[in-house]
Amino acid sequence: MLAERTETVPYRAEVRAARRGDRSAFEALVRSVQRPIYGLCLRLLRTEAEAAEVAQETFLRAYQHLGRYDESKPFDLWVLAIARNLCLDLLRRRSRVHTQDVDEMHESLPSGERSQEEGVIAAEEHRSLETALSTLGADDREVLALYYVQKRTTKEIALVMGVAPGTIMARLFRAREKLRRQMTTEDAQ
Amino acid sequence: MNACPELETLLIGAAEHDADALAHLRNCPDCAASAEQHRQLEKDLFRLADPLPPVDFVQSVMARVALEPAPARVELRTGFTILAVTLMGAVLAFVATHGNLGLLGTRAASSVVAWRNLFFAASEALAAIWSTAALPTAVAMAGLVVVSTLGVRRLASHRVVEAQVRP
Ligand SMILES: [Zn+2]
Repeated sequence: MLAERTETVPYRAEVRAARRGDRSAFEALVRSVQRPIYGLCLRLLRTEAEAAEVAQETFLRAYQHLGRYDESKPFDLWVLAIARNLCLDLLRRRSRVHTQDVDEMHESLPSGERSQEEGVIAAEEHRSLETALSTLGADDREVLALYYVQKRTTKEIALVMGVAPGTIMARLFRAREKLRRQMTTEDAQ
Repeated sequence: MNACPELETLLIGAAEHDADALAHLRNCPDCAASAEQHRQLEKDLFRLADPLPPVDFVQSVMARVALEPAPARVELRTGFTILAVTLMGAVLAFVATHGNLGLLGTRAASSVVAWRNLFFAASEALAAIWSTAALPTAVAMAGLVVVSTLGVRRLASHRVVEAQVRP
């Protein structure tokens, strides 16, 4: 029965091998989850250099604390939780030092994936969506990134954020409502 | 038309197929327009995707991981550290209470005498109990043995399960 479960739970075999000291197994894990980890870091921190640094630090912490990882939870969610904690720590420290210009890193905003046919108008809409997103607070950006960009369930998001699953829909609504108001004022200008 | 409910209540209600919320959206153009904006926004948000990390990302991570000891060795090391600290604590406590390690021999000798006295006292007491109430004593002793054996077995099997979950 245990063998069966090993096959159905993603990353379990790699995690076990990595725990035994197999670095190539850990490398495979990094490769599989690097994109959502870096993506969340960039959404929260908004600078490519900081996002790459914190994402690297995230994997290093994951490696160091592999012994503490609870296999009943999905590995990627565990690493995401480490990443969000590191990002929020950095944002807290940053806000204590100085208030950073929100627009500082517009150029490095994630571009997403669009098909050619969507064309120039879609690109323009996309840009205004990113601009509106960048005006939101970290907690709003986080929940939107996990739900819409990473397509995670409310239960998974609750696990990453350490909150009750029942609160996620309301958080999503409030973040979206801020976004909607921001975009209507943008349109009016 | 009744007063509009809060948009949050309305949209979350509609998402959960609440009949009242759906009826309000059908009959209220203002709320329907807001709901439509939210729907469009969701569609746009769902189109976003995570960016790719820098090309050398995995390489950079693994270069830092290479400097770390393997996780299993870390756990082993932690175990040894705990053991070493415990032993050192015991030695320090011994030294602190007795002050002088030269007393070790006499202390050890006196404790052997003390243990012998205790053993004789205990066996005398047991003999006394045995002569007055043999059957209840035997039953109680057997019960004690069974309970502690079961406890040890449960502990052992629990440790096996734990070892399977966390190799
Ligand atoms: Zn209404």
